[in-house]
Amino acid sequence: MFKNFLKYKFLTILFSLLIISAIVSPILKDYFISNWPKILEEKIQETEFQISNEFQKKLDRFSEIKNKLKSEIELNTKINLANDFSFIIVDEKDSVFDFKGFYADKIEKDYGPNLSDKYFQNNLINTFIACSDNITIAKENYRLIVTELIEKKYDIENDFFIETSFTKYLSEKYKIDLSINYGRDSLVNSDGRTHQFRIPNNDNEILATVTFAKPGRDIFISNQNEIIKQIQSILAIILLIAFFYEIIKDIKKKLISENVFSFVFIILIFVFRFAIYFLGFPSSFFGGDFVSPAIYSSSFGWGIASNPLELIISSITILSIVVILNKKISSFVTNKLNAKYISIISIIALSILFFFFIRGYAAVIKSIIFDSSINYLNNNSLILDFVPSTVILSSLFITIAVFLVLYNFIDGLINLIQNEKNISELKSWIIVFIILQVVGSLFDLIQHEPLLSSFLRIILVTGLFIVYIISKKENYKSTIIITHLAILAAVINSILIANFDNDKDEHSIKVVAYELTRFDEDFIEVNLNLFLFDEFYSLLEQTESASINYDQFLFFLWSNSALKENILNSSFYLFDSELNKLGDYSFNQSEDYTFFFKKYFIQKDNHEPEIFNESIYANSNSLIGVTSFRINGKKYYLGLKVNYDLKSLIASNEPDFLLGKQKYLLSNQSIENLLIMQLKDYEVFVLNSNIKIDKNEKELLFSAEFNNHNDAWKEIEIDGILYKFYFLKSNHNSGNSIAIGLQEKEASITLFQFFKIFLIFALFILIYGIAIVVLNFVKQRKVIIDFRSKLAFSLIIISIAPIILLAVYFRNLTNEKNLDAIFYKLNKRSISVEEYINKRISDSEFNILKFAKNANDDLGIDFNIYSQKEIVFSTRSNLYNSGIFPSWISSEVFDRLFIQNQNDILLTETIENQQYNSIYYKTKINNEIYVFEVNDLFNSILIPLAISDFDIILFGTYSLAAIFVIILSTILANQISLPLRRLTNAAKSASYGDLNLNIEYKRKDEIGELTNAFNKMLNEIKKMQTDLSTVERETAWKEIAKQVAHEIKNPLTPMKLSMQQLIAAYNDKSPKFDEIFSKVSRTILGQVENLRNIASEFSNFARMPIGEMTSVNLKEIITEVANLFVDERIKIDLTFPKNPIRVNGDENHFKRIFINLIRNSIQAKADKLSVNIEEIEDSIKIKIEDNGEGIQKEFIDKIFSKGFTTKKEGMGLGLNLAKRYLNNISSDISIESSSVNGTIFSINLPHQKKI
Amino acid sequence: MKRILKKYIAFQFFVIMLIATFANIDLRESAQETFSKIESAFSSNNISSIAELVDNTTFISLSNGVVGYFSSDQTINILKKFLEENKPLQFNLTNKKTETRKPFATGNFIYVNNGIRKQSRVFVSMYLSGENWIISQITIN
Repeated sequence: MFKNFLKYKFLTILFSLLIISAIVSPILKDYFISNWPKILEEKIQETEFQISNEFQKKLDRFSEIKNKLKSEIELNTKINLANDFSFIIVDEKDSVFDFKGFYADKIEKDYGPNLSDKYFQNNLINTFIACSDNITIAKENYRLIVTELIEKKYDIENDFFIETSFTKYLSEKYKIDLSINYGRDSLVNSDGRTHQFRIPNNDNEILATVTFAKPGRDIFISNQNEIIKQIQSILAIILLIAFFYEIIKDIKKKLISENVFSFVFIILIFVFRFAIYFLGFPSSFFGGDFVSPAIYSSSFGWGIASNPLELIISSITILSIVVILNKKISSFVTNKLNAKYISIISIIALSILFFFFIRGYAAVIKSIIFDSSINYLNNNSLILDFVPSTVILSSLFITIAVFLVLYNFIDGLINLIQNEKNISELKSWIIVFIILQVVGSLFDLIQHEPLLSSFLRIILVTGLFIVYIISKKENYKSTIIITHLAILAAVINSILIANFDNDKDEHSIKVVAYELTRFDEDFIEVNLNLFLFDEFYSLLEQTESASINYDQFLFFLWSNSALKENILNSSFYLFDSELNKLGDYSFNQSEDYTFFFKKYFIQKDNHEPEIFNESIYANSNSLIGVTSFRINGKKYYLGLKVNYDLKSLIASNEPDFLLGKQKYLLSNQSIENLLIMQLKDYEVFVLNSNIKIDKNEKELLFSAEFNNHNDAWKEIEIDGILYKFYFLKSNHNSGNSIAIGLQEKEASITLFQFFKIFLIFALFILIYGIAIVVLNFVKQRKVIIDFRSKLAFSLIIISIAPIILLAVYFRNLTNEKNLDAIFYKLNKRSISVEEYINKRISDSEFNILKFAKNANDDLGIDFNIYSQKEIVFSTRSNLYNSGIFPSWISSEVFDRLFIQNQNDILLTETIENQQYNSIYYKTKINNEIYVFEVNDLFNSILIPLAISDFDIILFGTYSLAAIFVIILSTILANQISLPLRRLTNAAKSASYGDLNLNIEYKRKDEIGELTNAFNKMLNEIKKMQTDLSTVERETAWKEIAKQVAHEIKNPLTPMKLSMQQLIAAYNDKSPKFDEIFSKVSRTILGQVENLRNIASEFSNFARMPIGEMTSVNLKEIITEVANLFVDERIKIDLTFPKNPIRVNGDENHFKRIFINLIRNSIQAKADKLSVNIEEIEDSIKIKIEDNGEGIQKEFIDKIFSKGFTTKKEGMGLGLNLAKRYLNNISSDISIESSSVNGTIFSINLPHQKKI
Repeated sequence: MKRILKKYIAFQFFVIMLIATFANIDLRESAQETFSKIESAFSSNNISSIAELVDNTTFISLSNGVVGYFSSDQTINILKKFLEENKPLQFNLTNKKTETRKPFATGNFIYVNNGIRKQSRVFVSMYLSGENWIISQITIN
């Protein structure tokens, strides 16, 4: 028991911890319940302390940066202004002397409680930390006021928006519902459910008030339970890993068969995969896109592909299982189904199963496209984000797994056919290829909706066959086969993903139709109701009446409303009690409703919110919302207009960074690629183009046949371009509908999309290749890159380098030209505006602001005018008035125009994360200096070839060129290096004594000369060896004869003398004859024994030397020998057990034996040879089987005899030497069978004894 | 004869109107039932029970920033994950409007997120696909 405990102590400890955690959980719960008041108090104190600390840290960091900034300004060194920091320097008269930073215009000249004290500056949409200080510049005294943005009180949910919120940071970090009221008089009401505390400055004055919700007991306990649950999950997973590790260890010890081990291992992998999923690992431990079902999610496998992270784990699991199963599928098919009748049925069944696998694979890829929101191919960026890349990569893992199964199916089918029909390899390949193509075509016919096109199916099967044939010919290891399958998977997957993405394009136009019809009157009314009856009052509470900026107030209302949330085209108008307009803010609206609202409020002076339908402009669907309210006793009127006509939903004149969630409208499509129409009362309204619809086209559009879901699909040619149209009825019973047409993709886009996906796969395969090289290096401590690879790599580098350089050059050139074109067009616009205004200077009522407005109306150009640093006019004034844009010119522009005295500046600027180009142009009008700014944020500038479009063309075509270069380089390198590789292998074989070689090379070039010289050299060596052996043999015989004579003479003399003594005794009739006879007999027998010993000695002398006895790894030796023949016309199959096979013997002898056997097979015209090692108890059996001409029956007995050969130039030594050597090491070689179909040699060796 | 014919036509029209009215009442009732089913699925944190109410073009907009059109598999898993992160305390569709082509309902969702009790507004709309109501939009903001 104790022994078991020690053995599994880790498991026992983990299990105990799990039990303890289960026991502790309810105890903790009881403890929390009974001690809740105390815990609550501690928790509140702790949170207050943590938040105060955070404030202190934030304020200290601000002080540090402010002091650094001050010294940089005083020392006149380069100013490095940190993000979100701004400053102004004011003189004694409060005039701004210098400024810098995006929010410099927002800085109030309010100096705070005391000098150098930090405080907060607030407006409706921003909060800043601020601090003022004295500063001396050029011996003059000034006041420096520095601010740092701490809160943005609005949120635009898009990729451009940079969120800044200290409140949100604290809320998320400490998991509390928190609000901060910034300001010196910031005490707010608090009830028992919340806790409130102050953030003081050094003089103990209030800087801000923090209010947070006290944690609820049940929620607190539930949180603690969640933590315990997570700990339990981690413990359970570690326990599972440890448990499985022990199982594997135990199974290995029991020496069960490899198949059973693999089966158990696979079961464990399965169980582990599902166990970690149900334990919530790793999804519940991570956040963000990686675990977001919105990125990808499928219902497959009870949820094991429910998000990108689960998908990649599952795909790796599937691939691992298939890699473990590799070869077992094929051997199962070959061995278990190899019986008459069964094999024929099996061939048919397997062929069908083959295509079910392909369909399953296509279904997975379809799911990856259709169950994801990743805009894989329709955005123009070349590099995909990490998470979408992992989803794409998962598809590659699954595809490799499926292809590996299919590869084994092909192998199994070919083996079945070979076994059944006893036909050549080539014929069996052709038969299986035809069977699969025919069954594939039939399978296409029986499927209701084939997921794979016939063309792609043929390509896939052919590709698998090519990989199969190459792998068999080259005798690839499984890692190399998987690499080849990965390349095939990359190509097929890229095509399939691009195909499904095309289908998704069609689906996406359906989405656009749904999106446009989603904004109906009901939906708008609900949102308006929500705003007027609910949101508005809570927003009003956050509004301070003093120094209210009305445009900012309206932007604040819009940006925090459901109207912005749902990107509804809306306008806000604010009037005072006298019905003077105080401000307005419009999102994507151009119509002015000021007059309408004034008229309405005059007629109906109500106080209650009201919503009604009113469209004062033709073809415009609008809902109006009105209300009035009071702040500090003052009455205000608020009018809202929400437009939901289709045309206004499609068109947008707002900068991208304000568009919010609008991106989902065009989830997979760009509106430019679509033709959107409204079909109403037998009239066609084209909503996003100026195309005129003719009568025929109109008839075709109205002839679409709707199904019971009220939608229809139809291909129609409009204006010479073929569109696929989706029609969606706006009402069941009406003929009115919306029609969205999608243009066919250009070839360059298809090419771009293919390579975009292929690039991810290629990168992964490259990493996989590097990993194999590194692993080999770790294993062998050396990197062997063969000549062929070096040559191919060099050719690829030499060819691709200029392609890349050219691509980079052309891209930069296009970028520069585009920028030039943009600035030229912006410049032209600014000159047009200036000329327009200058022409009107003579007007008696000249007013630059009035004529600037006229210029905007007449020329349709959006621009800004600055006087010194301040904006005096903007065609998009509401964006500047609301405070989203700074109302001051940037300090860089100011410096260059007014300090460095430049006349115009071209600049690339940034707002949030959106880049735009501007031109600033200084001019004098009526003796006043003005700066005109025209930018491409508000003005649409068309360029002939956008860099994104250029990337599409460049990437697609250059990638295609690169692929051709890689393929050609590989083929070329292979061809150049093939004769050299043959020569190298032949030289290696020769070094082991294999001289029966003749390398064929027909071309008469340098390599041909080298080959001929090598062949000649081998023949010479062989001839010399024969001659030498004859001479050596004769010399040896002479020497041996001498030795034999000499050695025999020695015992003969005593024998002769003894015999003479015996004869003399007999003749003399010696009485001691008997005694002498006995003595002589002993002497003669002794000498005969000596002769026998001499004979034995000579016999031993003549025996083969057994060489150096070492532990030899047979698998390595046979593989090494087989590799010598890779370039010869024989395919060698090696089947080895998994574990190393070691015997005692001499490595070189073994190599000679195997080289001899393979060479004999080649000479017997075999093109296929298999070497199979089998462990049988204490011995090892090596079976060498070829498909050569076989040995004639009458020769079989003589085949191991010395000097026996059936070859013209053979010496009859090879097999004889092999047998002699093997016999010497207690082993044997024999012929198991031989016929016209081939020969089987069998070698039996004793297993290496364990030392 | 003409009178009989007129009467017959009037009768036919009456029958058709009656059937249409009953059919509409049936549809409204089934829309009400579907809204109740949605309420119960959210309240009991059992989103799988409304799997048959979503198709491959469901619009979702949630307070955690998820927004867009999603496939049925995605919709179900998105909502499941949303309810895992935001443990439901109460889900009520208080205003239901079923007399329209696209019935919709608004209401409130009270939940616990990261230990904080929160409240969001809900908007759910449906459309008729064949004879079944399918959720076209779920907004929880």
